[in-house]
Amino acid sequence: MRTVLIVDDHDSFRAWARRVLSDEGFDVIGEAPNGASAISLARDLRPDIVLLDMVLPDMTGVDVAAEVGTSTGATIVLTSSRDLADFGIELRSPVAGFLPKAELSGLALERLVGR
Amino acid sequence: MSLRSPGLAGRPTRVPLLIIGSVLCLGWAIGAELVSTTQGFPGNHLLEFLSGLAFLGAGMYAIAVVPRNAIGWLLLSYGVLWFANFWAIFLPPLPEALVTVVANSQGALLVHVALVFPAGRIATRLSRGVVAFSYLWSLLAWFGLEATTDRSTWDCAHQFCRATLSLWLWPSASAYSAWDMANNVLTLLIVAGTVGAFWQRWRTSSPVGRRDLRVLWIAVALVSLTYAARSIASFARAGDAVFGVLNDLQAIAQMLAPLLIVYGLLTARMASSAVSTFVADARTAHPSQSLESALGRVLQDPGLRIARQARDGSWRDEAGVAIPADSPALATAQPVVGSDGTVHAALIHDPGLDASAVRAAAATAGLILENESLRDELAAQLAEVQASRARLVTAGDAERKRVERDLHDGAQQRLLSLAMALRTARRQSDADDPELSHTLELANAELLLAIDELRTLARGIHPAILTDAGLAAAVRALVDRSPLEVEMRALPADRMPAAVEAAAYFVIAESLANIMKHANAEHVWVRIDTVGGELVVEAGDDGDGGADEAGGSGLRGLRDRVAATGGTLTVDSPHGSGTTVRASFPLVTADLS
Repeated sequence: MRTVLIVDDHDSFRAWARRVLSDEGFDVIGEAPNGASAISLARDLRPDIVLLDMVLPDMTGVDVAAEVGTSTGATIVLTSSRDLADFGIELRSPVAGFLPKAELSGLALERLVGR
Repeated sequence: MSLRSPGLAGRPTRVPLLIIGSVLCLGWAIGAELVSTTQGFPGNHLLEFLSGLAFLGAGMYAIAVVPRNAIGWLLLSYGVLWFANFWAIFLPPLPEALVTVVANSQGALLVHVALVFPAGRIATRLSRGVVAFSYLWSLLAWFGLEATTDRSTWDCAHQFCRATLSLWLWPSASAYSAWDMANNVLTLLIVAGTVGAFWQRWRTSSPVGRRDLRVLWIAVALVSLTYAARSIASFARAGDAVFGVLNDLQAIAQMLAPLLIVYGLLTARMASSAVSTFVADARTAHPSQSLESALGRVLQDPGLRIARQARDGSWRDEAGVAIPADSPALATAQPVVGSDGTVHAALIHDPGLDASAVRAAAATAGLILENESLRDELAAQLAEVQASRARLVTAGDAERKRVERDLHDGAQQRLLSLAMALRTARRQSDADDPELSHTLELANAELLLAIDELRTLARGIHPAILTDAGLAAAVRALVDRSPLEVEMRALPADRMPAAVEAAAYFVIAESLANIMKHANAEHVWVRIDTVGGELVVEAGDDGDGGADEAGGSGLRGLRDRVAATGGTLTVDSPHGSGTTVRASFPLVTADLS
């Protein structure tokens, strides 16, 4: 079972994301409400996947992804309630893909990171 | 720049009187000269005529231009008396003799003119004394001469042989001779007194006063010399030939004198009614020139200063130099009063300047200062309105961002949670209840549409990307989402002030929305460029054109938004030739970030 770290500043989203992913076969090993705690937890927990919100109170998702990707080698999936086009960026390694929050499911996550 | 003569403009009621007066003067002169010629009066008729006419003409002109100045009337009186001698022969003997006495006393008028020039008022006690004595003695001297003339030596068979007072009084050759001698001596004394009084005025005059008196020096010198020469010739018992020449010279001098006096009078007055126009012209032509120097130049008073009172009551000139409140210059300064009676400043000027010219200059200065004050006030108000408008737009943008953020963090997150809850519920729903599963699926689909619409709404209120990544990224995202094929011609990555980025973004967003709705365009393009310190944003198409700004509030609202940042918006939309919306924003604008 692949481990997931959920990083989002909205409590209700983290709670529902944990439930959705847990129900669909993922092991949610941690949650972080901001970039700093995400980096710290990722180093400690070494998750396989980090579901990372694009906009965090202290850092951007892209910056956290660069840090976490370098230090842990986790697969990063960026997520947001907005479109990717709303950010005007191109995804690059270590980010595996972008998953709109409205479309979050275990299946969608698996499609992005591969089985 | 030329000094305009005040002329008679604006005084139509005086014109007929002046015309009548001029005709009467001309008739008086021509008639007198005809009498002189036909009655066999001796002398140079042409010079006599021209001299008298010069006084009449100069007097009339001076009266027309400066009617309240006595000089015009004095010159006119001199001209009238000049010809009165000839007309007097039509009077009965006694009045004829009396008129001759008065007419021959005309020299006193010249003394009077010399000592009241140019203001028309007697300035010193010495001048007053000299003028009074001059009138008194002239009348007395000619009365004495007329009263003692020995007519026995006259050829009274000649028609010129006129009546004298000696017909009724004391004809005596010896008395006449003594009286004549006394007359010559006192005439010399009067000339000396006139020169003395004049010299006293010269010594006490300011530079401007001296400038004004200079012309009179020439006139007085000319006439005084001829009078003095006559008196000396009389002492020396010169022959008739000498007196003939002296009479001619005196006539020429007297012909030039009134012309010089009127010229000097007008120059000294500085044509006060023209000062306003002149100063206004000078200020318009040379806006950088200070009012002080403009007025100083107009009034030919380089020392002129404009004193303004500060809030603390102290006085300062335009250069900021303090002027003591008890300064004598300030005490005699001309107040500069605005149209509402407010004292804006005080004009410290040379005391020798013509008072009416100073008043006119002060009135003009009052209007100019009032105008400047209003202009400054208006500029300040305009600046405040512009700043206020910019603040409103900035506040509006901040509010849009806040609403977008609230939608994102509030409603949107709750709806997302709800969507995940619905999906979980569907998964957990009983497989045997397909109707419930279908309902939950429909509900989820509706919810996703609602989330999408909410996202679009939030983006329209204020795209987060504009704040986070700037204008270029926001426009790129806008173009990516647009169903139109848009050519991006230039897209600088530099960040601009937030208000400029927001206004530029909405210009493009609104333009693309309009193109999509109305243009029927095949080719659409967007250009964002920085040109010469300006951000230039263009959105164009090759569609139908004919965009009407009055037809909707979109373009008008954009224009206001652009203007709030100090920019301008133009719409070029000829029918059938596409539309180009162009906005330019100054990038050196304070307080827009």
